[in-house]
Amino acid sequence: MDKFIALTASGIAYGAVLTLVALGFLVLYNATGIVNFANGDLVTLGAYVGIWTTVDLGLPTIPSFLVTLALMAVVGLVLEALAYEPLRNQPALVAVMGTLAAAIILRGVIGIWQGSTPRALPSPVGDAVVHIGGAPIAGHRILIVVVSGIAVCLVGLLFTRTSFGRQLRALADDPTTTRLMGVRVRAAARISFVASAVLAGLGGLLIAPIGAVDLTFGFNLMITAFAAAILGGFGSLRGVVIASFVIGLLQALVGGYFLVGYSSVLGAVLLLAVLAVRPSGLFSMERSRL
Amino acid sequence: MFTSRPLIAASAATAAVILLAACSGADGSDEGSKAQDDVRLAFLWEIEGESPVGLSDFQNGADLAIDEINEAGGIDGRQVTYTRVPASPLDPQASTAAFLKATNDEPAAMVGFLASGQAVAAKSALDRAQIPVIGIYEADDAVRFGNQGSEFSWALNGSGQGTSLAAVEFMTEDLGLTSLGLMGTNEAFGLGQIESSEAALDELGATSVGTVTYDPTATDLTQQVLAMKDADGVLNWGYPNPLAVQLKQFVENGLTIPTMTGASGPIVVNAGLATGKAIANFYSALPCNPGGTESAALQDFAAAYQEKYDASATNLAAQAYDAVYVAKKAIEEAGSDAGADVNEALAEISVAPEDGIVCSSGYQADGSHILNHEVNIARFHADGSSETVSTIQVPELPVAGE
Amino acid sequence: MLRVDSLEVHYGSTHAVRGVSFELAEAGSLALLGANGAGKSSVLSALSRLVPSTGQVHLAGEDITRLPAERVTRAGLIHVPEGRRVFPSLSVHENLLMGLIARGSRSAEYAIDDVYDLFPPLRPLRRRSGYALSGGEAQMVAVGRGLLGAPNVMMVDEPSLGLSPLMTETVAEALITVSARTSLVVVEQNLQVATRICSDAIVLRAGEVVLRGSSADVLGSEDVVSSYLSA
Repeated sequence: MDKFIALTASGIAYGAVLTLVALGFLVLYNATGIVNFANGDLVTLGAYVGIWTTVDLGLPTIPSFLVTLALMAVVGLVLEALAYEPLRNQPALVAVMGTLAAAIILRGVIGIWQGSTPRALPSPVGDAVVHIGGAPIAGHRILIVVVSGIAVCLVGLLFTRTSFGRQLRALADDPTTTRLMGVRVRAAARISFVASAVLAGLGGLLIAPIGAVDLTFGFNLMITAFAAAILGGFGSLRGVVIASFVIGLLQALVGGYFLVGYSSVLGAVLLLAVLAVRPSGLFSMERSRL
Repeated sequence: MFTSRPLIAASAATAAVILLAACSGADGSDEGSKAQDDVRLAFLWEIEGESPVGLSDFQNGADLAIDEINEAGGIDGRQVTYTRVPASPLDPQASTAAFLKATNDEPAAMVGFLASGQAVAAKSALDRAQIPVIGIYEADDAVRFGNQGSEFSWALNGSGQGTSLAAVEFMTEDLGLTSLGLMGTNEAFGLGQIESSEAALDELGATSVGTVTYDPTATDLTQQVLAMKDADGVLNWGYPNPLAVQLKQFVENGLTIPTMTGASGPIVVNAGLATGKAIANFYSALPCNPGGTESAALQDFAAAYQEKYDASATNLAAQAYDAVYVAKKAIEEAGSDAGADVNEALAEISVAPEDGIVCSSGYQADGSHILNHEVNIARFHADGSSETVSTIQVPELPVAGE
Repeated sequence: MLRVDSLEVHYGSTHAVRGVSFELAEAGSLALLGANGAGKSSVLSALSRLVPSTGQVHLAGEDITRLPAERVTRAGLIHVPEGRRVFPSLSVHENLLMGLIARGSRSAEYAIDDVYDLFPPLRPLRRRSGYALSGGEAQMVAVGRGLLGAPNVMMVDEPSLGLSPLMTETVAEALITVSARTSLVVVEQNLQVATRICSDAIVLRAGEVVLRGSSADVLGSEDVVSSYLSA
């Protein structure tokens, strides 16, 4: 039983971080129609900037998180200006290639800044361990779930309660008509790049203290989050949240009981299976209630 | 049709990527003069800033050795100079090109290649150039002479098999453990080390309570850690990041059993990836441990290094230092600076501490072209310090396939 | 209010609009008539810059010829597109809110409540998603959304297309009300509806203006009938 609890807890924490990264995909895709493959390297960058502000500059946790997220917002703007705006009128595939190029450059820049030795980001809650039903759960994993939960709620409110959120959903529905409404598409793209960079950075900040950070840190997370975004129908907030937790729990539980060592392929397997049966994703009808 | 601006931007972005890739293979600095009378060496590695994985430890260690040798009168009275050509351990093809570039200078020997894959990829180039290359990597099966290793490539560190054997021997005989769990990454390195650890367990009559693997980028090892609950010790053959995850999750789960690993150990501890309780019962099987040694020579090296570079000497720096001394001895024994002669000498020589080396009690090539047959077991402490608690001799390996 | 000079639209080798010019006074209303493919919708798309065109367009004295689509809308030339194009995943109310974006600092005739007054059937549907609306409901949303942008000129493309006679009547009545204070351009297949809403009309055939005048005159002309039949 305590094994089940421990695995479930780890699945939930992983699902929570996946949600953040997957939402970054979703926001940007809705606003621009492209998939941003620099997302993983933005996760890595967020973790390194967090290490820089916390460890190197010695800022306390909350200011360091805020500075990190603010810097990530700036990175989002730069990314939009250099990698997306010049390619905006090209076929989507070209713009997607632009994000791939941006990913490679970003990784190179991080490498030259931080070198290849992995680095650690201490958890704000230290080594605290909470026992639930006899299973030890790292306090940091609980922190991950709480902070991600707050972030997801904020994104939810942004989507449903703000003019920007409406514009984003309108862009996802019908970009041409959205322009006819007077929506500044460039501004929407900018805000989306900022939002997805901030979400990725938050994901990096949250998951870094679990292990260590190196240059490939965000890549795997991105691939799994991409699977979650597709599984969730790529248009639906609710679908993406559910898909992220499904993948997180699947990896933890199926991986924990049957496939120890190869659980990271489960997200991809599920993705292929779903695409074969329902190419539009599991939750595409949820889009209307985004 | 298309407006030209986005196209230009697209090509600019592509060009930037290509440029960035090209930079990582760009020329290294030519350091030192090239008087005809000098003994020339070449180093095949990057330094910090040349690529995301560049580290200066190797160059610093080698520089220290060259300075000492030249101050003491050089090799057979001739000064030693070198060229350095950046060769990325992540890019075997580019490494071969770097090797070929280094041959222009006709060095007597080269030191470098930091991954066995580089040596395997460069095999035919090495065979043609007939210049020996002393690599600073743990030899896997592929790079052994007789498999895909060149007659001219030599591994300064021991073999992966030797490391596994020493690790298991220490856990079972010195620590007296009987139920060991095996962990490792689910790719070549981890699986290879797990396989040789299983063989070592068999040989020493110990049992494994289970084997679990994980993704090299794993950030959650709950499943694997739970599988280790019945073990009284764990061998974990992984890279620093997942290793840090395992150590932290052991603490969370109240597991205080010893963990043994290989070369990733010092990185975990020195970079602070795991700290305190997580590393209080943590061991590493290493070719060299300058941080926690009782050897006076290695301590002297560490002090000189600290003084010159204002940084702690790593095992990587010490090994590069030793590799230069091995090359020196081979050139002296050959009585020539022709690569083929030096190579022949390398097969025969025995390099001892009085020859200047600091990591091992002796380097002597075996049939597989592995030079070191000694493994140091480092024990780490919660404060991040380490001590060498055992030095284990491992058998020489024959020519692969014999 | 709106002056169009020598508007030309090409789609590849198709010359869809050929030198169309017209002028619309403040609070004026103009019906664009013609058969399918005569170029009516192309004129609207060109004016709102959804398709490239040549010629000059002035709105309230300002040259808007080269502005991108979103700025044309913000300048007050608001296009209610063919097929309503209500956002399916936004609710009725959210669709209407989207209309506010175009408003900028202009003062508007219609606030949201006024739209609900103009189209009472929408009031109970506030929270219904766009994809669940009938054609008539969607048309009301589309027109209401346009009005909320405080149009200097509102261009409505085929408002009656696919609607029941009753619904057509509701929409037409609303547009007649609107036309009292807002300049309108209406593209419409249904001659009766178009000429009831608009005081003036022009007839297009193969992208060219073949007739212009008051709605009554145009409706009485043989040419109109023949131009519809010649499609």
